[in-house]
Order: sequence, then C-alpha cells, then structure tokens
Amino acid sequence: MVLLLTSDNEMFSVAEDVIKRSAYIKNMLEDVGESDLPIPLPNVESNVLVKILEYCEHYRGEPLPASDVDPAEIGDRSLDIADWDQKYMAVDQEMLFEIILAANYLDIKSLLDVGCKTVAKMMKGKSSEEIRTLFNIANDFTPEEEAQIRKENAWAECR
Amino acid sequence: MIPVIPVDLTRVFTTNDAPSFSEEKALKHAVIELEAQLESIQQKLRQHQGALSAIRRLPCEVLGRIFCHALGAPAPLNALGREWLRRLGQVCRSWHEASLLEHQLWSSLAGERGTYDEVTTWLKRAGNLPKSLLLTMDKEYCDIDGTANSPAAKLLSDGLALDHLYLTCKRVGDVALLIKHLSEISGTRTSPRPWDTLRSLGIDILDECDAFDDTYGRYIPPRDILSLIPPVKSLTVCLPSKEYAYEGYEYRFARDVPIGIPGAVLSGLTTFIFSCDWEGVHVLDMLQHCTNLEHLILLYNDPTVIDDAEGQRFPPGGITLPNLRSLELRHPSPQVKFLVYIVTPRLDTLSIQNDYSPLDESISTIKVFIERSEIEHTLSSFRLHNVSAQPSNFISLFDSMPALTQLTLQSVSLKEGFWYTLGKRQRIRQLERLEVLEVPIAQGQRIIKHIVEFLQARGRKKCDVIVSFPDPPISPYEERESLIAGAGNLEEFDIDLRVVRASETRISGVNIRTPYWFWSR
Repeated sequence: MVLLLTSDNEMFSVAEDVIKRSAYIKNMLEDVGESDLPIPLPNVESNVLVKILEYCEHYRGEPLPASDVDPAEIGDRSLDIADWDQKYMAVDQEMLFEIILAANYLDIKSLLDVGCKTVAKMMKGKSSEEIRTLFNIANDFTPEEEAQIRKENAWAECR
Repeated sequence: MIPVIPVDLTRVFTTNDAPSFSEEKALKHAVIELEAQLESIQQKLRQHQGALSAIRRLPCEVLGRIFCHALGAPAPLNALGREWLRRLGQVCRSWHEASLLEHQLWSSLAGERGTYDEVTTWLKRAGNLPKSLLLTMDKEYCDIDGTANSPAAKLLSDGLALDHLYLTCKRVGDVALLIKHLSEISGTRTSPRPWDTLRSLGIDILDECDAFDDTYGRYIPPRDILSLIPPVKSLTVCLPSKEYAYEGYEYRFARDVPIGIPGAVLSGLTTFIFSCDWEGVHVLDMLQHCTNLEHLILLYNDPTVIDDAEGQRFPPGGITLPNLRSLELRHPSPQVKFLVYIVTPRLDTLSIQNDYSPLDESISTIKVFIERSEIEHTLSSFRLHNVSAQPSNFISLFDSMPALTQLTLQSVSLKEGFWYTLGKRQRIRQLERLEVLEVPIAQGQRIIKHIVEFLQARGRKKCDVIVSFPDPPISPYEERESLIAGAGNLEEFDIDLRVVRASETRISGVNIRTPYWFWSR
C-alpha cells in the first residue's frame, strides 16, 4: 500500500497497482523504493483525490499507455469519449478543472486527455464571448490589443 | 422620474392586508431597487468566483492540449478551423498566449485562398515543428499567366521549409505549369526551396477536374506533372477515374498512358499510396523500381494483364518488394490479381477492403501469395473489410496464417458456426487482439458467445477483443453489459472483452480523398 497526503492533510492508503497509473507516483516509488512515509500531494485536495482514485480504480489492471507515446502526437484528436469516462466527468465545472489540474500534476495522461476532451466538447462551436460566459472568464484585453489581434488574424476570420 | 415619497411599510410586512395605493407604489419601487442590488451582488459573486476558479490555474500546455482536441490538431486547419482558433485566442490574454505557445495548432494548414504572407505568417507560429500544407490548386491560385508570382509558386519556392505537401488539383493544366516552373528554376538557386526538401508529397487530381486538358484544350499527359516531382520518402498519387479522365476515349487508351514518376523517385520511396482505376500494368511498372518500399496502399488498382500480351512482362511472382511490411488493397478486383505478381518476404500486415463482394474467388490467390512470399510464420496482422465468403473458405485462408496475432474483421459476413469450426480446428491460436467490427444486428446476440467460446478453446491466453455494433438506437450495443456478463468466464481465460459503438472504433475505411488521412501516415 502507498500512503498519500493531500493538501488539506488527509491521509489515503492506496494499492500500489491502482496509483501507479500516475506516472509521477510510479517514478517516485521507483526512485525512493519502499517507504512508510506518506507521499505529500500539496497540489491535490482530498475531494479531488477521491475522484482521481475512482478513475484509477476503474482502470486497474488495464495496460498503462506507453510513456514515450503521446496520443496527441499520433493524431488521436477525436472528441469521442467512452461511456464510463463521460459519466465520470459529469461533475461541476470547478471539479472538472480540478481533475484536469490533478491529472496533469500526477501525470495521468489518459485522464488528462479525457478532461481536455470534455472541456473541448463544451466549447465547441461557441463564440469568444460565449466561452467567456461559460467559464466565467474576464475579457482582459484592452480595445487596442483586441483590434491588433483581430488584425493579425484577419485571414482566419470567416468572411 | 417622480420621486417616491417614503412610506412606512411595517404594516404590510407584519399583516396579510393588501397594500394601499401609495404602499403598492413604494413596494414596486423597492422591488426594482432590490433587484438591481441583487444583480450587482450576483455579478460581484461571479467575479469573485471567477477569480477563484481553477480554470485560471490551468497551465499553458494544458490549455494548448484542450485547444488541440477542440481543433482536431494536427489535422490541417481549414477556414472553419482557423476561425475557431481565432475565437479561442480572443477569449482572454492567457488563452491568446496559450494558443501561440501550442505550436502544433499552427503546423498544418489547408491554405485555400491564403496569400503568401498569410500562409507564411501562420506557419511561422509552428516554430520548429515539421510543417504541412494542403493547397487547393485552381486557376487563380496557380495563376496561369503569371505562374512565378502566384501564391502557390511563391510558397513552394520562397516560403518556409515544408515537411508534407498535399496538392488537390482542380485544373491539371495549371498544376502542370506550376510544377514545370518549379523544376525550371531548380538549378538557379543556391538555397534549397520548400519544393525540393519535401519529405512527403500528395497529388490528388480530382474527378471534377478538366480531365487532362489545359485551358486551350490541349491534352496534358500525367507525366507532365509526375515526371517533375522532387525525391520524397512518401508519395500519394490519386488519379481521376477513367470515366472522367478519358471521357470520349476507349478505356483501353489509358493502358498506354505513362504515369511518368521517375524511377529515381520511386526507388527512394518508403511509403506509396496510389489510387487509379485505369486499365493496364501501371502499378507493376512502377513497383519494379520500389526496392525500398515499406508501406503500400493501392486503391481500385489491379493490373489488367490477364489474357494480355503485356502480361508476359510480368510473370507470377516476378516483382520482389524486399522491404515491404504493410500492404493494403482497397477495392481491388474480386480476384485480387495484384497479389499474383509480387513477392514480399518481410510483410507482416495485410489488409483487404472490398465493396462487399465475395472473397471466395480470391482465397487461393491470397494463399499462393503468402506461400510464395514465405510469410506464413511472419504475417502477424490481417484485416478484412466489407467482404463475405463461405466459412470453409475463410477457415482455409486462416490455415495459411498460423502466426496471426491481430485479426480485424469489419463488416464481414460470417455464417453461423464459423467461430465454432475455427476453434474446433484450432486455427489462429496465437491471437492477441481480435476486432470484430460492425457486426450485423441479426448476429448481435450470439456472436459474442461464439467468439468467447472460440477463444476459450485455446485455454488461458491473453486476448483483447473488441466487438462493435451499429450505433444506437437499434443495436445490441444497448445491452452490452448483459452481453458481456453472459459471455462466460472471461477472467479465467484472460480475455478482455469490450463492446463499443461502431463510431467509437474509428478505424473504418477513410476516404482516400480526405487529406487528413494522408497527414496521419
């Protein structure tokens, strides 16, 4: 078993084969060897870690993606998401982004991809303003900057 | 606005009496004021929540990854894709920065109608990544009267170095002039041009092109284009179907039309994709030179040498492709005649896709080909798409593939008892991955059980199985959980079974005319 300590000081005891889906933890275990000391996860809160562990548990036993092959680089950019993953990602926006951040920090590529695809699907077909509203993002461009970007990308604009 | 005289509303709040006229007026005014305050507070709340949101903590590389998914990168961005990227970059400063830092977003471009500056500025944002460009060549883009100054000519002679170039040709005459121009100035420069340093090139002459005529109606043979192409590693050539290319001629005419790709180019190829339905032995003529070829895809192309004096030049097994590892035949003739003439001693992947025609006539041709190439014990992957055959013929075919570790049967009509017989005769026992895709609904309920029984007959041996059904609503996919549960003991035999929608498998035959496919090679 591996001990994990979250940013809000909660301790989790997790089976090694479950948490090894995280390349970060896997490498750490390989580097440090067996230890009774918990691994601190200062960037992950307990409620997020619970969700991450749910994912790792579900895919327990499935082969890990080869570390040297990034799906992004082999052209797998489809927005198809498996049924279970879709249900797993049916959370509020804040949790969705927390999962993405944790997957990035823990280096769980498959989960990061599912999270990124989920966000990409939410944005699909929306205008810049609609995306700002959807994700509560402030428009921090000055009018001059906005005009400059518009000019730079004039060719990209659908006419 | 008339000021509202303050009214004591204590009475209406502490009783259930209806308000008087003046009280009602005061209440309405108060409601308006409170709503405005509420809106202001809600806005402030959203602002505060937004400032705390985890989306602000997403690093640039994660945002870039999201953008790549949204845009389907690295497929080339067309006008809609570019507009979409523009919108993403205009959301806020950090998104703009993330879009510029994600080089992959800018590395593949379908540059229809883009000027030299527009295309170059765009591709520069890809940094050092290999760059891909798809150009749709029509009269304006090639500019027949001023070829040297056309955007296409400038991009290919003075632009950024390109890795992939895919030319979709609507006007053969204009493209011929462009390529002629590019080859003429080849010797006049000290630094290599993008055209000279391409790693892969696709030339796709569309059916709707003006046949092989120039603007003056003069015939332009394909060699006027193809004899001048640069030495590339990967080449895709799609010629228009004979009905379009030689409308008004007898189809036999195409037999004597040289394709014209130089032997030196062919001998350097590692990947060759050739789509052409013309009569003749064009493909055999070319393959004689392809000694370094590793991947070959042929569409519609089967040499017409049977009962033909030309056939004498190519005896069975007369062409050896010593390095060929994968071969894909799409829409060959029912006899798969091409296989008669080649020997491929290193082939490990064979794929045949048809138009749902029976494969029975071809079984012996495929078996002889495997035997002649001596690949019985090295052929590890086999894919059949859109074919049918008698079960005995299928089983006889698998007799010649004992080393198969991957088998894909997509839209293949399999008779009742096929899997049972295969298991009983102990064929293809080394399978590690089995894909049975787009299973007809009628077979849905039983096929999973039959496949599992076939695999169980091998004893415990790891195998990943994917079965796909048509997309809901009318599909056994809906009952997938009970189908898997009822399939017997999977764990004990180390069988990993997944039942998915047909659309999830994403390996259906992709139209060769879709350049995205070229990009993924």
